[in-house]
Amino acid sequence: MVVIGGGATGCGVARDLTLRGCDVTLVEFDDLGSGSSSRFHGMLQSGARYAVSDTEYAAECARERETIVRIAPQAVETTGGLFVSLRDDPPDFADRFVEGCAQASIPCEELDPDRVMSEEPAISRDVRRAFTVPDATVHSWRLVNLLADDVRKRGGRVLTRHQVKGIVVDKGSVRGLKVAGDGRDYELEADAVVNAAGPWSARVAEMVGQDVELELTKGSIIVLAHRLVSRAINRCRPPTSHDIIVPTGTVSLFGTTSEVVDDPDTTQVRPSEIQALLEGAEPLIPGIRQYRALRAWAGVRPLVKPEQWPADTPLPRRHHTIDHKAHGVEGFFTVCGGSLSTHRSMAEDVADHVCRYFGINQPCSTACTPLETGSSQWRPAAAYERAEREQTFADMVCECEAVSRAEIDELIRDVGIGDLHDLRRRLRVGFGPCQGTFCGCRVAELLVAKHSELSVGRTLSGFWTERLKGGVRTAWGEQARQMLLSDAVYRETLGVRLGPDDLPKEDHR
Amino acid sequence: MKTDAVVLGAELDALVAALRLRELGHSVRVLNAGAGSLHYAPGGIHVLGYTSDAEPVRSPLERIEDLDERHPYRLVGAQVTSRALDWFFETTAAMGLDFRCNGSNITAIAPSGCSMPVYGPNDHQATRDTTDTKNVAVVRFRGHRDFPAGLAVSALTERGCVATLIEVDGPLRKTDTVTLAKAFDVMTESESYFADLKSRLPKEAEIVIFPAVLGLHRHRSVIEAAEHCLSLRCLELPTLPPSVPGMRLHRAFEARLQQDHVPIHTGARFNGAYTGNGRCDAVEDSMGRAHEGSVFLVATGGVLMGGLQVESSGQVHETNIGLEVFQTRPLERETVDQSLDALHRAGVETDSQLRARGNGSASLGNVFVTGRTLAHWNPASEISAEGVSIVTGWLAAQSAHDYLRG
Repeated sequence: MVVIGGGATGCGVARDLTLRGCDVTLVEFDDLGSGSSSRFHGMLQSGARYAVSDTEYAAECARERETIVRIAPQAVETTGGLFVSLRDDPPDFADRFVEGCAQASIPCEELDPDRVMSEEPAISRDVRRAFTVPDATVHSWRLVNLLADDVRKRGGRVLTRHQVKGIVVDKGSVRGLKVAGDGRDYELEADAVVNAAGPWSARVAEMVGQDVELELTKGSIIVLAHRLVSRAINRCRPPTSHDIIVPTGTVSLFGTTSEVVDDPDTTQVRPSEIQALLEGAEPLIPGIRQYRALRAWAGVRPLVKPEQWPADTPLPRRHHTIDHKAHGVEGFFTVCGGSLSTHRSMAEDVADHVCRYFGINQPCSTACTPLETGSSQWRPAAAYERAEREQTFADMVCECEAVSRAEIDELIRDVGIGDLHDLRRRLRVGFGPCQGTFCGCRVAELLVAKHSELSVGRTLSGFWTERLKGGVRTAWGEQARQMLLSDAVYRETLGVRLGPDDLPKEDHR
Repeated sequence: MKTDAVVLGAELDALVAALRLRELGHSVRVLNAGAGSLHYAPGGIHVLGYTSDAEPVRSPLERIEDLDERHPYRLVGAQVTSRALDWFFETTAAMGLDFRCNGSNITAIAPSGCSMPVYGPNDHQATRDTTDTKNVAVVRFRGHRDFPAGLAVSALTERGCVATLIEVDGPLRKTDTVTLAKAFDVMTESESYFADLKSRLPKEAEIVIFPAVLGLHRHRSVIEAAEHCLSLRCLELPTLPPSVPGMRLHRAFEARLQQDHVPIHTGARFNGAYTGNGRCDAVEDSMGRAHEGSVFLVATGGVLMGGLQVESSGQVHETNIGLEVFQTRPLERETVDQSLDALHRAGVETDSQLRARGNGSASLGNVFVTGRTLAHWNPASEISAEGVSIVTGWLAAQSAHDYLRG
């Protein structure tokens, strides 16, 4: 069986099928988790956000959050979440919120607003009511890599940087997949193909003449230096744009916008969206324009729009599974909608369909099989503590994100990573306040030691311009200085040039 | 507190202007917020490495006419540029800093191994012409993260060198750029240190390349000791910031200014300026003290050093005096290249004497602007930071001198 898409859903499906004894190959165009799985606010939803608008989905989130914390604690930070009603938020919503949480079995406790305002000094002084819920944040790249590692360990194959060229169908049944990767075009035999390509799944389905109706909405996010809040904080009002701030790693993410787009590769953030985000953030985070914003980026949500859904109402998040047999292609399945928080139940659902089709009687076991390697909870400060304890500061390659030389060497040597961006996604190297200004050439040196064929100038300028791409969107105040310091280091000291060939394409899918 | 001239800033242009004004016989006071961008600079004198079309430049002085007519070099002109650079190299030679300069760009080796055009490399800076096809040992001090020696070795190998990476403990086992340099300054047992190093070098080595940490205050005697003990030519490659060669230049100027009784107040922040009748009379620091002067030189380092501030709306302001700024809308640019370019090019527009205009275009006849605070140039794409700083600092001093003489 072949799974298309190396995001959380695709990796989840591959793991589920592998655990049920199937022979699985996963095909991903770029790197694991490089699409929508990493381009969101990073929250592992308790479901509270949807407690009023979609209680059933909220309950699914609540169950899945517990499951993910249990099977992959090393990818989750249980920050907790807060919902705050400000002076201008609809007062009756808070009561409906409490009711919705109770219906969806989400633990929710009302807190004294004064206590909340003293615990979270960065937020508004106008908090009227506040509720705590078990929201968490998830290290999405770590999660998808844990899933993929588990697939490999159990005998499955994970092919990254492989493009799907076509799906082979014979007499109405799927026979295989044409792919391009490792410098050649070839065919993978398959009895079934699961399309888990997120916002690209309509394009995949089109290859076999199938319609998958998606509504793609772009969400833009601003990254603020430091953890300005200790918990994920939502406005207690009907979920909309500009109402959530999430502490993750060494930064905070504020978002999001929502705008219907045609192209799943739309990841450009327009200046007007930044201004709208800042304006929308001001009531919750007063003085946000004075804080340092490291960068801005966007992701595309692949949502399914039910028939006759009223306009101006946020689309439901529930996922859909399509067995295309009913539309003339046997052995082809699509799973779409949903979110990273519910990726496991989505995977279970589509794997159930696949197993029913093949008459496989194995039940799903992903909810009770932990992902191995490391069991403690993810804590951003752990690496700093280790460096302090072991006095290994000189081995710290990225001070901002506390990434050590040993971690990088291991990925290059043992896992065979040969690309700076892939290291960045796995280790967060270059994600902190300096945005790769100082660690870029340190990592490049470790990479070139193993991959002597790499051009240093190209590698550095590719890494740097990728980091700057989001950074120049928020280049005001101290961040403007940081961008120019970075420029002074890369162009005036390291001699890197910005040529048309070196500029990364907006998205190279 | 009144002096003839008040120089705001810690940039190379501030140091050049202050020293030149003193030479011309005026009393000068320097006020700055902090260390200045020479602390990031790789140390050579970059005048013009590339044209605006990214074409490499061989002879910078011959290409000035090709630049945008609003570029600081065009305002200043080729003749003044040449005189200012001559003054700079003579003055620094008298301070004990040697630059190798033949009137054309030389290809320096960046710490990444990439090539970089430089007009006046430091005397002991590794360049292509001094290293190509030689047998070279590259020294890395254990734990020194800001010197990617491995990249330099592979780049040298590509250029036909036999390059070997040697890793040794730094003096006192220091691992940071500046503490390494200071450890070399105070090293008493340098003979045994370098003798030990010599035993680690390949016998065929003709040149030893160190990270640029061979002494901060006593660079010359450290490098002489190294060459004497190793009996080999010793060269330096710049490191990531903080950069010792840039700091040496900064310190040499500061020492000279102190010797010439020019007070330097570091840590100054400004509330604003007293302006009126087409002139500036004083700047007020954050303690409320007024610094009066007959002329003011704004060498505050542009956006990079905080002399210009970018608001979240994308508006750029000059906050110290309140000068009008040429707006380039950096937040609305499409590509990374254009965004950075807009951040660099925002700045104060002046006449050919580098005289600024105040808000509302009212001329301020006694305020002169230099370096990165000037509009219409891009040090990172042109590789021109030190050249523009020297030339505009020198000319601003000359213009201020003319103004003071009436």
